[in-house]
Amino acid sequence: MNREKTIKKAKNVLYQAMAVAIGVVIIIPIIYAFFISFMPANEIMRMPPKFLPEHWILDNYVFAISTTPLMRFMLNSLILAGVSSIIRVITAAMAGYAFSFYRFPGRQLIFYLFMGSMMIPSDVVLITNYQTVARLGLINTYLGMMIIFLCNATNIFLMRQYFLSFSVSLKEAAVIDGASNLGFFLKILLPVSTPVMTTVFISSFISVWNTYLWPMLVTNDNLMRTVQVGVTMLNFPDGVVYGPIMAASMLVLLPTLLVFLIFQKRIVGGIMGGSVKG
Amino acid sequence: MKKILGIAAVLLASACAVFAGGAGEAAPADPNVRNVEFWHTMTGVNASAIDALVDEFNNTIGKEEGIHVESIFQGNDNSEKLKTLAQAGDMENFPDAAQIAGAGIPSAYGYDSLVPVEELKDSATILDLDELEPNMIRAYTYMDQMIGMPFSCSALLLYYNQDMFDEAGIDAPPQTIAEMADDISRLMVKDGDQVVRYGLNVAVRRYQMANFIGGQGDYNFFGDNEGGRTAPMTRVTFGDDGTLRAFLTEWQKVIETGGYKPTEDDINEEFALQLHAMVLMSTARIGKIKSLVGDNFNWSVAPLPKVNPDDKGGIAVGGSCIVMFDPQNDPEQVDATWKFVQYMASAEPQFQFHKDTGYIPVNKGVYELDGIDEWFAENPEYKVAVDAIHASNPNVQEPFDIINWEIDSIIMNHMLAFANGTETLDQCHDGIVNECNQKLADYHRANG
Amino acid sequence: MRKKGLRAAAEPLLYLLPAIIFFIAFTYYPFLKTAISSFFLVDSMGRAKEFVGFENYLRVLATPQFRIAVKNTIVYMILNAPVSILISLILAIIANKPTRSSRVYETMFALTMAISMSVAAMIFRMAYNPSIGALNHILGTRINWLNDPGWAMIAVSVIATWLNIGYNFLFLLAAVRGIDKGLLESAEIDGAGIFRRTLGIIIPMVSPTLFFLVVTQMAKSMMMSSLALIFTNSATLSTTANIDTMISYMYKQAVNNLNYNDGYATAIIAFIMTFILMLISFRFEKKGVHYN
Repeated sequence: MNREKTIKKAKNVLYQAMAVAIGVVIIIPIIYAFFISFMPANEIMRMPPKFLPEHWILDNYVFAISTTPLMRFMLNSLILAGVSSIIRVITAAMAGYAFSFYRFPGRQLIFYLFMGSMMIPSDVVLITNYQTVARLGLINTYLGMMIIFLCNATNIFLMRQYFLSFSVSLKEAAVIDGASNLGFFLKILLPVSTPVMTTVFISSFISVWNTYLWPMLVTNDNLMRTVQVGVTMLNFPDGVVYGPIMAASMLVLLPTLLVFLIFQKRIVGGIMGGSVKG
Repeated sequence: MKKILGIAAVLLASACAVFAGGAGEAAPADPNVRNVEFWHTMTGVNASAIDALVDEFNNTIGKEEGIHVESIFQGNDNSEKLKTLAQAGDMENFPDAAQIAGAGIPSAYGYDSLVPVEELKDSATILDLDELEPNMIRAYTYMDQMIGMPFSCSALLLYYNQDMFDEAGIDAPPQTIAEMADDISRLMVKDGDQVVRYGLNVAVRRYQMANFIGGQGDYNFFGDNEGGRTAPMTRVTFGDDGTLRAFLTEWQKVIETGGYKPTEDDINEEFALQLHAMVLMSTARIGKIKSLVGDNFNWSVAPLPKVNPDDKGGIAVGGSCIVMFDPQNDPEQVDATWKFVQYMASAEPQFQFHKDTGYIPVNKGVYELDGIDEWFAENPEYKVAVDAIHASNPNVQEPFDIINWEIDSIIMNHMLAFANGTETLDQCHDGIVNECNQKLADYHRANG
Repeated sequence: MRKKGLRAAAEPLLYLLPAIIFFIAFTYYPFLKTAISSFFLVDSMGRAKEFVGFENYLRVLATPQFRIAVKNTIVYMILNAPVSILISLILAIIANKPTRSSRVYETMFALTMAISMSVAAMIFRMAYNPSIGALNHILGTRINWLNDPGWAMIAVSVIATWLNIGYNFLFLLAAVRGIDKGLLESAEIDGAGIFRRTLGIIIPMVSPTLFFLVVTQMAKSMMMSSLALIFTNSATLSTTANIDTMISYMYKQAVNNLNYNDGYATAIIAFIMTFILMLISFRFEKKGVHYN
């Protein structure tokens, strides 16, 4: 009995060690970038290539922070990514609800048209969208920067996929109990959907956090720049400046990591068992 | 759920805080101070250098005249952003001044609010325009009008590893491509079939081609209408006048050595690690190479090897200029912008900018300033670059070929195929000429 | 009674209203303008000049570079839609069982999604350098990954495969964790091995998520331009191999060369190809995806 327990425990430890090892393999490029951010320029490219810095230096970080207002840029990106992701969760949940709990004429058509927006490259619609935003007087505003990120077909699709795994009878039962359609959506469906809303939030936060072109196009003010612009501001036109860029990238990675860590538990903890599902 | 709402509230609150506080910060409160918006494309140390010049202007002339310049980074291609604004009809958000590359001049010429330097030339108060380098005036002149003010300048040079030259017994850097091919054979090192040290690394693209074509004879044009300067370029002429064939014939000697690497990876670092004996790169990389090489070995720079021994054209200058706009239809605003633009091309700021960034000065007055001799004594490489530019004919220029991206990829693909042996000299020659002309014809059909 | 019917019909549309307004204003209105322009001769300012019918389309389809771009896009799609999703599924199954250190490796598995594409491009580019890069050093090869026409597209695609691992993992973890524990345990007691459990229970149970990922990654891959542009359009990172995708080809025509004629037609062709692909996928949804 005892031996069995020990074996089981050992197996468990081994399993965890293996999982962590796989994790390390996957993030090797990030670890590499981390080490480079502490290397002097003449160590970064060497013969033969080396993984660890010989002399650890902080100069790259100092350069990154002193040449660009990176902290201010982070705040801009935080607002941009945070607010637009919250709005995205709301628009996606509403649309997903309509697609999965209602039958109405044109449902398929509207859904496919929404999906079709994924196949329209943003470069094609760029100039017209700039025109629209300029006409609305939104140049140099946060709203102008985030407006094209407020709704996303991928997110709607995901919400629909999730809601489809609930049966319509769940809603019917709730309505018989006296709940309105809106009441069911807000009080029953959304609370059990926190995991999927969290994944929508995280994925959308990160994708908006990493955008470059649009936020720069619609602003003409150094103080309105986002972190990704900040990272390119460290570059040198005649050769890559690896050290400072990797240092800035490590700093820029922190907020996204934090968002992930804060919300991680919700993806995992909030999943309900089969009882709620039809 | 609550947590998410909490975070949402915090974000919205901070958004409001920034909305409220952010807008007023940049603009000076003083109503007597005129704000000039300047878009630049510089990054890293170059951005710090440009900001330093703008600050200097604001604290001196700006203070006296009541002008405040705001320098704003707009990504590395202002021409593209201006194009978007122009197509969307958004003239309101045009800047007062913008730094653009030479290739953007023809499209800038088409914007209604452009104020060519030509129109203000006679009202110069800060800058003596005669002091500007003639090559650089010509670089930003289109349809007989000086469109932009030269600001930063660079040109193509030969960088070579002095230690390797000494070891191989080569006393002087090659003057012609044929000499360079000889040197490659002596400098390259092979381990069995593998080349472990290349004699030369460079990818021949539009920029390199413009130099090799332009430098032949006294000078030579890339395309018709003086390479697109007196009117839009409609076809390339280097096929008809034999200059492309002359270059390819010489270049074949380089390829045949087997010690030429036709693709560029990390060319700066590879040269610094002594993987190549020679590289062809822009003058703007001198500082970078200095810091990467340190004291590891001796290296130097030399003028770009010529195609024919008796060529006199020299090299084409690249770089950027500052163009001015009048988005508000306000002569006083233009006047303020003009003062700033003159300042940026004046001798002292140009010397400072050269020291900070390695870009070659656009103003000849720099060479009469105190400290220039000491500077060149410490940095002889820059002297080589300046002399090479002074020895070049102003008519040797990068072409205004409008579809420069397309031309670049056509030349790059064929030159690579030529180097790899998948195309013969004739195929490469005809491919470049025919495809360039076809694409130019397509463009003019849509824009004729 | 009729009033109530009307309200019932309008109700779902109310939920859809924000999305409908958004997609009309920022997607379909500009797209329609593009689609119409693609049948015209358009000048460098984007103004339509004369009607030319399908001429732009025929020219694009006959261009060898466009055909290479289609091939490149397909290579990219294969390495992104199936391969990256498969890796993530395996990771999600590994991470399924909550352990003491699961937060650590879950974070590691998901971390790649937080890296921006330009930074990832830079990191991999260092490793890909033919003479001083880590990859050739480790493998003992001398391949010029980014400049060899045979390798370049694969080398570039792998960067995206890696970046997508985290994103796919996030969704698949949520899905795998959502499977009724009892179901897996009883299968284990019945003696089902990990493969049988994966094929028999896990895959059908996560099929809505898998379907979601396959469809969206396919569409995203068909629309990819950023990586190709990073490696061909910047002075410092540039490669000489042809790694253009359909959309990066479009971008270069429209934005760099001011050739909206080829650019717009390419965009519409890419849209149609992707839409067909998506319709085929949704056919499959009825057969292979289990929602309950």
